[in-house]
Amino acid sequence: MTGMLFDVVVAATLLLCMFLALIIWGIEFVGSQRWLLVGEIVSPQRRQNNRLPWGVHYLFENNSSGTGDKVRDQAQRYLRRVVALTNATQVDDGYLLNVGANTSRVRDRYVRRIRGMKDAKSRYEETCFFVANQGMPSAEQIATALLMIKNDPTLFDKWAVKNGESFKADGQIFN
Amino acid sequence: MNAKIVTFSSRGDTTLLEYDPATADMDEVNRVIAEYEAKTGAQPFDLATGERIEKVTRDQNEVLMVHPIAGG
Repeated sequence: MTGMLFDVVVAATLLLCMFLALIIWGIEFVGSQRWLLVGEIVSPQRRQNNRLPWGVHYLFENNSSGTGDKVRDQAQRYLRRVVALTNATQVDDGYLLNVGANTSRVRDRYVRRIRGMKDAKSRYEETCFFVANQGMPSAEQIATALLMIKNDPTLFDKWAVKNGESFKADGQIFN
Repeated sequence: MNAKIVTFSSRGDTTLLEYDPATADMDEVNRVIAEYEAKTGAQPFDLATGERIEKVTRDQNEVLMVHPIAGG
């Protein structure tokens, strides 16, 4: 009788162990699948919110709530900062920028050379421009153009002559 | 105060990197910037002076990655 009771206890214990092992395996499997999924989502954004031991914090986070008005307001704020930094002047339809002997008028998607034709590398007076980053607010596109022309006024000729080619701020073509 | 590397994007400005300039490994910061430039063509500008910079140092608190422009 005692022997049979012992067998039942051993069998019950074994069954319980198997059951527990099954639960643990299930939790780990589901967990690993979930982390795999999270990894797939996070990896294109490159280690989002991953604090590194040397104090560098990868964010890739948007600083606006994403609503159109907030994005535009923020873009306008950056444009005002860049206008001040580059000593540009707001005029009716854009911004006047003086760099050495050159004066340009930058407006949405267009740059016109007002002064500085004499030493220019091309005869163009106006060129359109666009930032490859689709959908960037026009205020930020203008800010980008102001910064680039301020640092290198010869970019105007490159944009005018090399239709459709993207130029980095240092004047190199970007493919 | 933390330093920031930001860029313009279709969804407003985006912070790419934030770090404490006093303690951060600046080689690591510049490595991330170089990687981003290789991928997008964007180059760093100091938002305190408006000048393009070759390498980010501890003196810069806000750096803007400026994307390439194409003409037409």
